[in-house]
Amino acid sequence: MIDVRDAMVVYPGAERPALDGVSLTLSPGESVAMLGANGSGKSTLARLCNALLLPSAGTVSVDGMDTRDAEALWDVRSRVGFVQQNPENQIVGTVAEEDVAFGPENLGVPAGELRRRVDDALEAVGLAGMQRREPHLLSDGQKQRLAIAGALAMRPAYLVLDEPTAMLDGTGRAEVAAVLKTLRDEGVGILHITHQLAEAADADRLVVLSEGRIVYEGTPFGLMGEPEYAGRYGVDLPHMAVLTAELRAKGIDVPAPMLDAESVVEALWR
Amino acid sequence: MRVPVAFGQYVPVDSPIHALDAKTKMGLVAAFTAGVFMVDGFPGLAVMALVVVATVAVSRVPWHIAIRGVRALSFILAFTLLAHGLRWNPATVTLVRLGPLAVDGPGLVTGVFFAARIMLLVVGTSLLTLTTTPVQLTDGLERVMRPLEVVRFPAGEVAMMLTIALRFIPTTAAEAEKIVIAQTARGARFDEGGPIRRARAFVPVLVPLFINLFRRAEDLALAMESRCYRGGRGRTRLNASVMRPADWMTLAFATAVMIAVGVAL
Ligand SMILES: Nc1ncnc2c1ncn2[C@@H]1O[C@H](COP(=O)(O)OP(=O)(O)O)[C@@H](O)[C@H]1O
Ligand SMILES: [Mg+2]
Repeated sequence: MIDVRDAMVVYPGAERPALDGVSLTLSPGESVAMLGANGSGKSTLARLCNALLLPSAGTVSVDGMDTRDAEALWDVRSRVGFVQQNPENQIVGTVAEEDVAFGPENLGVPAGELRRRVDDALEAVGLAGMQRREPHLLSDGQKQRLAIAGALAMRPAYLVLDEPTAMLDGTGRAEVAAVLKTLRDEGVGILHITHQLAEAADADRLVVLSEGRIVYEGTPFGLMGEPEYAGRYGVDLPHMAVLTAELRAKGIDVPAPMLDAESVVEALWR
Repeated sequence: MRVPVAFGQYVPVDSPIHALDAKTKMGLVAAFTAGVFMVDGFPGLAVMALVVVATVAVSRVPWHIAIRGVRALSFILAFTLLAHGLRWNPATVTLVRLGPLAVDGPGLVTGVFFAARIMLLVVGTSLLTLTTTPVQLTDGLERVMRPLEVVRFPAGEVAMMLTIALRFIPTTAAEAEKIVIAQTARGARFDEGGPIRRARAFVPVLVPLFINLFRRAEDLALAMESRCYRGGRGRTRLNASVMRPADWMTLAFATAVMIAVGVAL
């Protein structure tokens, strides 16, 4: 389990803390979505999870290992895969397979096992057969899946993704979402930071950050029933969620909240 | 969009030379260079020339590409010839005389010898980069430099730097092109005026390019740390380049020939 407890982060020279007493857990096989306005501290929290950043106060532990423990650093980082927003900037290798191999190479995994891990990871993200493809010839969605494969090759128990779809088109988003869903089902714990509540709809839990504090923690649908509350924290609700909430506010009885237009139409006809 | 970038000079054809390991080819270049410096007469150079011609033929690198390096050096070659061949007011008998300026027979022969040696070296050594991809070269270089780690030379880190540079050349080229198009759309002209004005026109391209590069470097550092990068130590390689029996045989044979020719001729 990733266990963030009362974490506080103050950047040097900053007036207010970027994170102010945040507690959060993530278990294997669980998916947690995180939303929040720009500057609310999402990336900061993500970086705490794999010891890219250490808390100024409070603790962060991964499967019982404190991230401040220098001895456990590589163990922590291989257990927590990290994927960033920009698909271009996190690819190290000159061809796909060499990029995927980068993590386990650093861990000293021997050659035979390396090959197996690389091929498995590429397969898991739907890039089987693209071993020799040069990264700049991949679509953005493929690049982002390659980045996920690079994390998977370290055989992590958790994946932390910091707005992985923010720079992708619709197709790319769908590809990444599908991969994340499969991984969750296979037992990987997923912390998915996003700007879109629609992407968070499948999550087991939803967390909303605002000014370094957690202001909502619950089911995604719980938040969709509260459009004003969501708006206050810079969360864009899917159109249909806004519609159903407004219908309910006007006294029209629809089962709340719904994401697709079809079920809304059906409910209205009844 | 694929931006064609002419980095390196790799000629992508299949040949027995291309198939050799990069380390083998580095060894061959070293042996060849030693051989060329050891021979001290025209018969020796003739044999070396034969070796070069045969190797180029086997490598299937087109001739005009193989000798490109010579053309780039034509000035130095001409200078070598003249410096050895011309004499000012010589006391001895000379071949041709033009006022005080004279062409000296033995001097000219020496000049031809040195010029030929330079040409052979250039064509022979450039075969390394013509038949080896930059990535293979980098990997080979890492292995060859590894003994230097004893004296704290960071061979693994240097190789990693080169690899990352290679990885980002196409990306940066594509980005530069995008910025050029954007600036052109705003009325910037890159094809007008003298060299200074043209160079100045590129400032608005370079500034955003560099800002992006720094941002990239930051992200990349995070990505590398997240994936447990901690320098070259203890790193294994997916595609560790290995020298096969054919590599060892080629290297041994070529070294023997070079020593024999170098000593005998
Ligand atoms: N390296 C840094 N140095 C100083 N301040 C930072 C740094 N990174 C982020 N911050 C500040 O911390 C706050 C939270 O940032 P961040 O975690 O990036 O938020 P988010 O990812 O939600 O947009 C912001 O006010 C931001 O300006
Ligand atoms: Mg962020």
